[in-house]
Amino acid sequence: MLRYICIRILSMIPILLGVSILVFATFHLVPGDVVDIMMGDEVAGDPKVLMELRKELNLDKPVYLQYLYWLWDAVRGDLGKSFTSGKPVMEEILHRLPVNVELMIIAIAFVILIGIPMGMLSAYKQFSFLDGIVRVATIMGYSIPNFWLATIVVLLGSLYFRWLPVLQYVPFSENPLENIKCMVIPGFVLGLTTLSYIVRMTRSSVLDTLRQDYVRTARAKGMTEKLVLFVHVLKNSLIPVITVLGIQIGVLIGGLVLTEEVFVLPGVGRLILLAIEQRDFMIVTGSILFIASVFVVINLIVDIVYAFLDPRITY
Amino acid sequence: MAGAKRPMERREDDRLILRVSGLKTYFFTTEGVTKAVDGLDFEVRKGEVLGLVGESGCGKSVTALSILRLVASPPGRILEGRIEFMGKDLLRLSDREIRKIRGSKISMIFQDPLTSLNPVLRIGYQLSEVFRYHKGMDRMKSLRESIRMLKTTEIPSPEERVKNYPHEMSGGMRQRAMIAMAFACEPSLLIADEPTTALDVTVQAQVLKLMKEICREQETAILLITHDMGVIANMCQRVAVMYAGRVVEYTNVFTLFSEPAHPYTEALLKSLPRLGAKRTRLDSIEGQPPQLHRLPPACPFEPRCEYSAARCKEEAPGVTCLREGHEVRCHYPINGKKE
Repeated sequence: MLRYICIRILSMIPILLGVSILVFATFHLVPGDVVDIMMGDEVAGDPKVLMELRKELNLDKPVYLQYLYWLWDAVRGDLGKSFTSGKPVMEEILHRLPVNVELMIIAIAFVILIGIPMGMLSAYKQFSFLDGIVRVATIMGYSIPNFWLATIVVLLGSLYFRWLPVLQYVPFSENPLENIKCMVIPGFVLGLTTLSYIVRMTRSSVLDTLRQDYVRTARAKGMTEKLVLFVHVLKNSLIPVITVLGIQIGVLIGGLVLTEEVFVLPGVGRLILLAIEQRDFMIVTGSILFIASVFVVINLIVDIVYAFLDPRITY
Repeated sequence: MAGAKRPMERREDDRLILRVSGLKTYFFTTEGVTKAVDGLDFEVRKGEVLGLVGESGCGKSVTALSILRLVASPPGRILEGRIEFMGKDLLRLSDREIRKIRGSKISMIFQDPLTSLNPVLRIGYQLSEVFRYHKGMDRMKSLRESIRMLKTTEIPSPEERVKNYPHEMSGGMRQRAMIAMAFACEPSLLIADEPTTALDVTVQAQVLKLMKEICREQETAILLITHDMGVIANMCQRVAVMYAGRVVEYTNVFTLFSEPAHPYTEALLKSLPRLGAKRTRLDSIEGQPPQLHRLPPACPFEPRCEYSAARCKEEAPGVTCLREGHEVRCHYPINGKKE
């Protein structure tokens, strides 16, 4: 097991290098250079200032050296400084990260705590009335676009009927209860697509497992239906569900930007959006590199969970 | 077989463990009704090995599953019949009551030990479940019992093996583990559904020998389902030959091989390879196995039968008792008196 984990961690290195090259390439794929973009049309610019800025950003050196300097800084956690605020990019990200982490936790909690039991129930009562409702609801769930649902929830819930708190972010450290109140709905909206997907996935996986010979063996041993379902079926049917969940986490991260924007939450997604508007290149690339790395780490965790669930995986 | 003609079993009733009579298990699919088991009768007595033999798709496995009420429903359903086990009709028990019998009084061994064991649970866990559920043992005690049980099936170093997952064991060892599981609660009846088909020949012999030994020790009766006549000859005292969901011949193992009365039995025996035979090709039974949702109206074997006569196309044969303990479902049994 330990060997397997080590191998998986080592195999992250080439992936992360690939990601860093892609992100770094965006510096050079834009016409002109970063300094031109930063300055935009505002200042024709004092050439001397521009030169100095280029020197500071190592733009006067060969590309491979630029990359190595940039990579070395990134490895040490230095993603450069924001052009607009002058603060380190890492600080800006970490400052906003709690919002994202909380949103993700809420969304994933909905997915796991509602999605998996609902899928199991739906499979176990296949073709029942309940199963029918679940199937229709999940089709709706993953057909409704995230941004539309978010907008409708805000419009109807907060502005029109005033059931929900008005858009306003309260940090957890200030008032935990209020904070959770204002985060639950966005978290649910964020997770809905994935939730529906996981319900369907769990349903078909459980149905498949129920037909396996070893389930028949368990019944022939006299196990109760409850034991059959929770001991013999559950673990086996979770294997494909976990795989899909790992991929879906990427979708969730993508959804963060929209959810934060519509619900006006100060997270990394809005930081990126704002940075793009303000042409704050360091923030954009830094955040992308950061998010990509997080995604790679999450995949690592999924793989490890997977190995715990399925002893047939060779370490 | 048929209810009226059953004179010979009466005096042995106290040794009777299982009596299946008029069992019908149908599958309701979109293609129509598949009559997998269609009016089946047989009996198993204490300590006896009854062979249930027939080609693929004749309803052998469905019979096995029907006894423990494990037929998947839908699409399957047991329509009628009685399955009396030690005086109780299993078809009339509540779910709770039948669960108490499964795995303790009647247990099962399946064909493929790899797919029949749960891939993500350790052997020790799967084995100890039986002890915990049926005997109320705690974790430690049930694990000790599991190790003891594995020892009786001659698995080397059982203390280590309980920690293994099924994929870490060989096919023979997995089937031994299945056997250990089946005999854990000293059942009165063991249903073995093609227990050696998935194993290679040397392992087959070992597994059969092991089953025989434990059964003798525990006085367990076996319902042995197989298509292998060699296994039948090796293991059984009496044999029921099944065709298209019914028993077509029912006799002791000696008569079966020396004087088969049903044309199907005769054809089955002819298709066996024989040592020292001069021919290079094996005999086979003409035609295809019957499709169970489109059976011929009269005798189901008639289209493939070399002795087929006009009457066979018109009238379904009843049961003829040739002599005590030899029954056949045919209008014109071989060597027998014509009806």
